[in-house]
Amino acid sequence: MNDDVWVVIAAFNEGEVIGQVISRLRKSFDNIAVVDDDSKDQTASNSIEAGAWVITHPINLGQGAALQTGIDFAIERGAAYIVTFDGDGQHRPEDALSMVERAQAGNVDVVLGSRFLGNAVGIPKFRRLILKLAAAFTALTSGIWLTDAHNGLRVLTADAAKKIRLQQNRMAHASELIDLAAWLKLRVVEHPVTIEYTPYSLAKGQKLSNSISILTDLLIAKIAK
Amino acid sequence: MLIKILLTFFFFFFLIYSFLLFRSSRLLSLIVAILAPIAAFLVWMPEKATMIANTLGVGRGADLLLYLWFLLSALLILLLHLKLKSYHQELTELARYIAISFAKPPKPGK
Repeated sequence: MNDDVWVVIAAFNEGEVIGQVISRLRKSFDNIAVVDDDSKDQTASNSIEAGAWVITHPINLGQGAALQTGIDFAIERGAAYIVTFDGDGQHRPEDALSMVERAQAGNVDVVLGSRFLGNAVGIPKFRRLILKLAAAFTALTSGIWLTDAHNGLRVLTADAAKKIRLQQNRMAHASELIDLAAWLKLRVVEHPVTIEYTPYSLAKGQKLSNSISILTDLLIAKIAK
Repeated sequence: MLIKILLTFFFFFFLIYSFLLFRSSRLLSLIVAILAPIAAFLVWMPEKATMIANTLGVGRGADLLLYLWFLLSALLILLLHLKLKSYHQELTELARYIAISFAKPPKPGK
């Protein structure tokens, strides 16, 4: 079942929901790699129990670093397609599956999930505004216009994944990935997905204060280049 | 007088330090090696410092030194920041290598 597809989940203290997220994914995908970013809870054991490989960072490095670790691991294991999936249960496995099918159809290197082409169930108005601003910012820096630049659900072909190296360890990796895709002239398409906002995912999700530190990270990276 | 002697000793040690720096950063070593003797010279000839300052449009020699000191510190902080960033990148690679080496497979039968 999708032998050459690896689902990569970057997880930090998601013990409460990770088992369920993996169980749902396992209905469509055999290979799941959870990168446990030095969680203090049961994230690792619950993931193994639910049927995922677990790669544990010895120290907390951030979501961007965790995704890159998972991508490296998946490539090492011979993945042809890599799915990045959030650990908090806001993504739907059926969306991941249709995005993989889109990638397998060819002529594309990166498939990005878009909640604004699809459905954002229960999205607070303020968050919608922030995400729209973030997408506009990414468009300015990368030249790629997206409806949703900060969606954790993506499919990369192995070739694309090998070229992309995320240096932004923390949360600025989402913009970084699109900047890199633009720079490497990768073929990027958006695919409608549904995001299910739950009290749990909202509590774990990004806050406005984080967008400021993301901007700072990106700015420093531009200067340091 | 005492402050001049103390400062001279200080700049002399800086000059020695610049030779030690040579192995890690040639550019920095060179900058220190050039600046330390100039600084010592200006300590003993403050009127020359004022002369240079006036040519540059700064009122006093002491002010000129203050500005230069500020510029150098800012440069040093930037260099340190970049160094720290590269260390962190190396640390990330190391942690990643360890993490992948000890990857745990899923529970059998799952």
